[in-house]
Amino acid sequence: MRHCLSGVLIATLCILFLLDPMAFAGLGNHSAMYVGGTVSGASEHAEGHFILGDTSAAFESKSVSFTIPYASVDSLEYGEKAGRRVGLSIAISPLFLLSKKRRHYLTVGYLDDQHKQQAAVLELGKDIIFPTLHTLETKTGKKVEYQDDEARKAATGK
Amino acid sequence: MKQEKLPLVSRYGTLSWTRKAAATILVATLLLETAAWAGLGSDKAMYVGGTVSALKEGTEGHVSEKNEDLFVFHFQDGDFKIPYDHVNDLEYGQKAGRRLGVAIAVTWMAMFSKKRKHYLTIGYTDENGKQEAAVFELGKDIVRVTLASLEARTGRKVDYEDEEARKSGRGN
Repeated sequence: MRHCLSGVLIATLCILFLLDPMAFAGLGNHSAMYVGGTVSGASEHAEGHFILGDTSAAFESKSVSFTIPYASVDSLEYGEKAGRRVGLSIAISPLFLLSKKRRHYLTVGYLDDQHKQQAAVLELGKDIIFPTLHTLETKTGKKVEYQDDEARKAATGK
Repeated sequence: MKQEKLPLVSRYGTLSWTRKAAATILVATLLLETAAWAGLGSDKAMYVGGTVSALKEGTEGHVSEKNEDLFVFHFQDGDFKIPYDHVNDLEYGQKAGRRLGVAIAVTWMAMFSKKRKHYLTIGYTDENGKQEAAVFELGKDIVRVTLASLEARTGRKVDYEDEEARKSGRGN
């Protein structure tokens, strides 16, 4: 009986260790996530795709979908969050503290059908940052406001 | 050469010492990890202080901007609400410190990393027209969303304490 219990204990602990890094897994490179904002009926942290159409941008996921006409966009902000991999450093190796993990956030401010100001904060996968920002600037006629020079460089390479 | 298999349970009916040590290390590491992460949850908020008599300092809860007219702080004993059209000031600042706890409990390398606390001050007038202020600490995952939503709902811009706070508030 003790033999069995200790086996289960060790197996559980090992699984916890393996699951721990998985909890830090990030967003897919081509995906987007609705992090939050004032979009009515939209649940936060919904992962899906940000689709840039001819006249509007749409966020689509299994649980949330909304459309933002380019003409109603009044602000675009881009920022990054660079964090140390503290979780992985604890779970696997302290050397992970030397590496940084970046998250990329786009905030779209726009007016809804009733001309009320709304804001949607999206996390973008790293491979869609440049095309998304470039397309939004072109389609909306608004300039993206960058959090700082580092964010500008990371997004545009300039 | 046949290697002797290490018994899981010794002849005395107890766990062998190597397995005991392994299990102890695993449990201790998991506990230390939890302890090291202690603090405000990343999606939570805490009323730190201000002029709100209905809230005790240190009350934890969640903030919500889903209501179109009211900013809501949900806590265990109820909801605290501020109408957006009563808000006349939004300020954001942060306090950065070294991860001493993690450094002591887990690894000295954590000293290279900084832990930030994020503070939002909402200035507003109450139903009697008196000026009030509420200071909330925000969990790191809700800073960006909360500030962007408050700006949209109130039509006011957030005042950032300094350039670093502006960078941090917009970056997350």
